[in-house]
This record gives sequence, structure tokens and C-alpha cells, in this order.
Amino acid sequence: MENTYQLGPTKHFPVVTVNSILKDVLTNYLQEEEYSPELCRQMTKTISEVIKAQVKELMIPRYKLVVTVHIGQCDGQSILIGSRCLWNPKSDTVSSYVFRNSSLFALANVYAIYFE
Amino acid sequence: EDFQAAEETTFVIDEVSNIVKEAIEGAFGGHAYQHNKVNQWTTNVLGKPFKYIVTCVIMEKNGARLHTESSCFWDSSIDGSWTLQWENKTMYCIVSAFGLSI
Repeated sequence: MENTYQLGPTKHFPVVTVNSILKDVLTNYLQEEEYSPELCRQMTKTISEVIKAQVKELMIPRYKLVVTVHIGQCDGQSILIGSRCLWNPKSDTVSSYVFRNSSLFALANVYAIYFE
Repeated sequence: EDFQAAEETTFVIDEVSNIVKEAIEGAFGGHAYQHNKVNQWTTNVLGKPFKYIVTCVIMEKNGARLHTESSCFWDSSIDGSWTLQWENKTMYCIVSAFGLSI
């Protein structure tokens, strides 16, 4: 990609819109589902691709995306998921949503990194 | 010359994997300590023009299962990612590092 000589993005990443995309995708795909290893293996792949496609459709220029999806069984275990980023907080951001039902939980994150 | 320039700006997996392994092996005990190690790693990083995302999943072992997937929209000739899975008797730890060139 070419140099733009801009100091920052002209259009910032719409965190709220992406949060609702995450909520819609996770709820639609997982609302009625019960945990099973095969299903969840397939679901993580499908959901991350679907989220990536929908966020790309927003056409925010010069943003790279990293979409991560974690789906796990609710079995009374303790789990901690965290992330740290080395970036420019004025242009880069993250969107996140956690979905839960009686047998599984799902966390989707979209990290948006401005390509200077 | 072109080859050298490419080396300087690509995500170097070996260096990243060593750093992540050291960070994990240095942590035994509390979840909070693990997070500090990961944070420290991201600030001591290689000096190349990169932005980094590090995610860490720590899960207690009790038979439950976890699936993780990531999907990226980037320039695959210069950006990259790497994941390490580590475990001890009581927990699993999965660290993923994503490096995006600027």
C-alpha cells in the first residue's frame, strides 16, 4: 500500500457497530446449540470467518483485522482470557462480546489495527 | 537489498517463540502474575516497526473443552501470528501473538 502522508485515519473504526455485529453473529449461530466437540470445532471456524466478512463489508479503509473466537464448554471450570496490545491507542481498538447459554460460552474479539 | 529489507520487517517467529516460552515458564501460580509477564513482554519487544496483540487464555483443568480460532485480514507477506500451548497439572495456558507491520 502507498504512503498517504496522513497522520491518522480519516474514518475511525466503529466499535459500537462491530459490537452489535458480534452480538448478532454469536446469538444467531449459538442460541439453540448444545456443546459438542465437533459442532464447536466447526463453529469457531465458521463464526470467525463470518465476523471477518461482515466487518470487512463496513469498508473502513486502511484497517487490518484480527478476529479471535473462543468457544468452550460450561463445566464449572475457571477460565481467564486476556490480551495486551502494543499499538497506537488513538487509531487502534478492539471490539468484544461474550455469549453464554446453558451449556457453552463464546467470546469473540475483533482487533482493528490502523495501517499507517 | 530487497531481501534484507523484507527480513527487517517480517514477523520473526523464532524470536517471538523464545520470548513467549520464557514468559510462560517464568510464571507459576496466580493468574495475575501471568498477565504481568505477558504485559512485560509486549513492552520489551524487538524494536521493529510492528504493532502487537497478545492474547492469553488460562483454563483450569477439569475435563471441560475449549476451541479457539482466529481469522485475520492483513498482508500475509509481512504480518504473522504464532500460538503456544502450555500446561501443568492444574491448568492450561494458551498464548497467541499477532504482529502487524505498520
